[in-house]
Amino acid sequence: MRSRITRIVKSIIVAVLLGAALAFAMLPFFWMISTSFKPPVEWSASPAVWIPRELYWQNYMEMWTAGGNTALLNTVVIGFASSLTATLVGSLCGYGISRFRTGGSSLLFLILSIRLLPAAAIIVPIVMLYSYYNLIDTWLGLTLLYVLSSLPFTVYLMKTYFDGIPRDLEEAAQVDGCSLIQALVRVALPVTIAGLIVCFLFAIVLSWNELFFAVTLTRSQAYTIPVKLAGWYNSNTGNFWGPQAAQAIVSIAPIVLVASLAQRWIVKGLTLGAVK
Amino acid sequence: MDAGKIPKGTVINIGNEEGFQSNAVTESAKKFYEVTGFSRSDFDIKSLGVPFVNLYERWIAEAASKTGGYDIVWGVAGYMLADLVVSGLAMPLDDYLAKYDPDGALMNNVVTSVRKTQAIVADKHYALPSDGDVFLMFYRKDLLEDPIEKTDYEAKYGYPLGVPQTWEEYMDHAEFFTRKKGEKLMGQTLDENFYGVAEWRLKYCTFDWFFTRMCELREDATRVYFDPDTMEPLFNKPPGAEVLEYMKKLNSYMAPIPPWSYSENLTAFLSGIIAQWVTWPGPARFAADPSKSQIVGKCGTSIIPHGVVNGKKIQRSQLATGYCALVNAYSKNKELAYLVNQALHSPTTARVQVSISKSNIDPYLYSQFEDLQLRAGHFEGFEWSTGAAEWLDALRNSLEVGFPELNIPGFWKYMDPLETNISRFMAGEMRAQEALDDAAKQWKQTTEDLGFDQQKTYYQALCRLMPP
Amino acid sequence: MVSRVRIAAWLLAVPTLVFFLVLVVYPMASLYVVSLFKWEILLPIRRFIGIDNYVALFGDARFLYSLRFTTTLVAVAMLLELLVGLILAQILNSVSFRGKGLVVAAIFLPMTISPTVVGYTWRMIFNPMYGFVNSMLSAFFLYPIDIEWFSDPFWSLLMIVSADFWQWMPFIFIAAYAGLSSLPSEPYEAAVIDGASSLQIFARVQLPQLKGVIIATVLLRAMDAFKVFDYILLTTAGGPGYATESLSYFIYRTVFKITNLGYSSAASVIYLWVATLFIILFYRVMRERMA
Repeated sequence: MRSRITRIVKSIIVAVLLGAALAFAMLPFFWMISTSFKPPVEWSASPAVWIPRELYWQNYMEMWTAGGNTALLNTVVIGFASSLTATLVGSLCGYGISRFRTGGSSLLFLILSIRLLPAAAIIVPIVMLYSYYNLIDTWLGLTLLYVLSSLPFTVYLMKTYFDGIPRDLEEAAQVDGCSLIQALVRVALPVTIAGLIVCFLFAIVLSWNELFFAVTLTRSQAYTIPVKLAGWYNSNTGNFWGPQAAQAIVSIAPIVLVASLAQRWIVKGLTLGAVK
Repeated sequence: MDAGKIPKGTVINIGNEEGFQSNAVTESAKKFYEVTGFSRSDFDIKSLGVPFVNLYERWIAEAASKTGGYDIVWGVAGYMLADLVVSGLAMPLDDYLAKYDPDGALMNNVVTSVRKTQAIVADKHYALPSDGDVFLMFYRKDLLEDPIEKTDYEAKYGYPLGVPQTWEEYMDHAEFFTRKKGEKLMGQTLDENFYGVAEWRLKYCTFDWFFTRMCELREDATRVYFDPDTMEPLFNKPPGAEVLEYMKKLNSYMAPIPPWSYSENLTAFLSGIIAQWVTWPGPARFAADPSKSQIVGKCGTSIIPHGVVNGKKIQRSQLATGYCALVNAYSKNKELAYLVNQALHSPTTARVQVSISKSNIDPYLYSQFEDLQLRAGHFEGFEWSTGAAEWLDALRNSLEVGFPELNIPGFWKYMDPLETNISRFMAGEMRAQEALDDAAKQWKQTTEDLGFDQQKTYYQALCRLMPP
Repeated sequence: MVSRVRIAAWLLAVPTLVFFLVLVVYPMASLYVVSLFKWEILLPIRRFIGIDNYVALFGDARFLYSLRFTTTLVAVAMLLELLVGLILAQILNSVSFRGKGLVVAAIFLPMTISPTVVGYTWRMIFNPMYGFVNSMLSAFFLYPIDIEWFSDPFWSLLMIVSADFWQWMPFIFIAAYAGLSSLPSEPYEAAVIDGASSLQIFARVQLPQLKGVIIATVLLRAMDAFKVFDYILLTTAGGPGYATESLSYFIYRTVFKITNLGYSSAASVIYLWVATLFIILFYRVMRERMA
């Protein structure tokens, strides 16, 4: 009897906690969605308006015609290109470090240290470098940078992932006559699909949402969604919370969709060494 | 304006502030094609928006990388000009001006102070002024005309209620009109708090409000920032500390919500809970727009309160930000860029910039101030029923006595310590005099760092542009 | 004679190294070199001054403050994120219900937004008049709460920590959750049979097995947290005064306002060393405590 009550009490506590966590996570989202549908009068109403009185679609139209369409295209292209490259390059390197201890412990540390660099510190040299090579306002320019930013995570994750996979599989394959590359591709890679997906997702989230480099290195052609987002914020003219929220929703929606569809993979992908 | 031979496919890129300013330039570009008979196939004019927060960074990046990606840089605030001149980004325009505007028609049309301070650095022209940004005072006409308030006010302060003429009156108004929810305003009970004043307090340009008052408390405008001969900072001398204390006292009559910046204040003002404020010219325009404002017809504009020194009335106003358009020295089409620049600033096209509703460019040309259509309130996109003429006059009068920002190289090196200290003073970390003295010390250091003689030359050149 | 295997091994790392060399070595080198100069971005001042920039930095109260502020921020944020992340992961791992996947996905969502969007949103929602945080807190505590989020150094710090927490606690959570759900069940079942309480099981059995995952995630997170910038730029702009200026913000301001590249490069170098030391120390400490 007592254990039943404790169980019920526990379930309630758990439910409350989870509910709180969910609400905490979701509240700002809801706020953004609601703001994206508000007419201008309601943007900064006090007290705060939660449910707009009508679905004001103009915010979305304004956002779209003001360059939101190009931004979306650029962000998708750059995002995919950089994530695929980072995943590929990173997993190769991770494999090398895992299996062959390439570079000892220093290489891994060196690659990880890339992540330490704040954008503001290296922005000026990067701008100089890019303008010299005519990489400003190009897809290639931003893609290269984003690959670099994602590499630490990719290499590290795949390295730990490969660590958890017993070597027997590849050794067996090699005994069967496969070369190193074939062993890698045919045997190791398929088992690590989940890990690769996680790398890809993290990389694409990173490049999708990055602002600082995007705003400094693009002009009129290669600008991404975060740049457009920033453009709606103007303390001299007056914030356009509506179109900005609309742009934010457009920015979030694809990622959220992909992430929720793939969340099972994400969990699996982060499960290190759970290979049977 | 002659055409000459222009290679096909030439594009003139104009870099400016994303949003309203970019929109204004695009619209005026359309007008340009209409008026001149050129077509986009001859050459294209593109307006490239840069997010407001990244404006200065972008120009710095451009100056460092010399790509020439922008032919005209339009989003240059007046205070950025000196730095960009020194960095080599801005090219001198005197030759072009002599060639294409020999009788000075273009420049003479610009209100004098704007013509000088937003174009000239070290006695040479480097840009064309684009915007009439100056501080104006906005107030609620209905408050000042209400009989109940008038009686109460005179009873309390001993003089009639009217548009504040001095800063003391401004403070009295702020105190008088700050009412809590439940109290009465104009005979009616308030259902939310009402505040006597609003002002920018976000870290970024609080110094504008400091200097707009300081410049009215020194007889000689050239002695507000520095002593022109010794380059000794003078803003920390009296009544600097008093001005800071004054500003802090205003805080108690403001809604308690940092970070107050233009947009938050504007929203509050348009929703009808602010009695008066001193800021850029925009609010009156927005207040007249029924889709944005709840105080249509109730917003009055006037020149800011004056200061008194030695019994003499001093009326000036800070030319805050004030955009101008320079021609990129690294542009591949300098002459064409200049011609486009000049064309976009000529009366017909410039009028488009100030008269459409989605624009943040304020009138700065005599032709605009005298334009009968504008004075009657016929703007493109909305009708301004009352107050347009009043606004235009107030704006023009304020511009005539405009006081420039510290347009010498190293602007932010000077202003960053000052505004940080003002912020610390407001937060209670420093005392007023301490804040100013510490900033002054850093000013002296900066002057030394950048080269005493160079800074002195630039400052003395700036002094030649100051209002009398 | 280098074995083919060694060559193959290095070949695997080459693409990564290429990126590294091209995009990292040059900026890093320029940081070190420029830090020894008085180097202005806009003015043509380029003068060798040796370690003067570094000396000045150590006497700069604002810089030292940003060092303290950033380490405090990272420490507080890491602690909170680790604690809550672990607890949440444990809770979710020990229950199962329909739609659990969705709940996990929902908790995971904040990570997918741009930090800039979070910054703007935070600016909106923490606004005492137009935002809902104060009113919500008042409703929760049944006591009118009117915190000055932007003008009080303590509350501003909390506001920024909350932004980082909201967005990145899910990172720790998902790693811990994934780790927990993949743990072999035998030790767990054995402990239950032995009569251990859930807390003891968690602390003695599951946590140690998660050691690798947790350390890796927290390290990655700490490296990112050190760079905190977007939230600050869009909410307090370093204010009040310079109470919320992180190292990254200090560097940014020195580059783009003060335009003193020599000074900012020196600050960046110090930043790198401090962050690296912090991370190494952190790593050592975590290794010990979790062993």
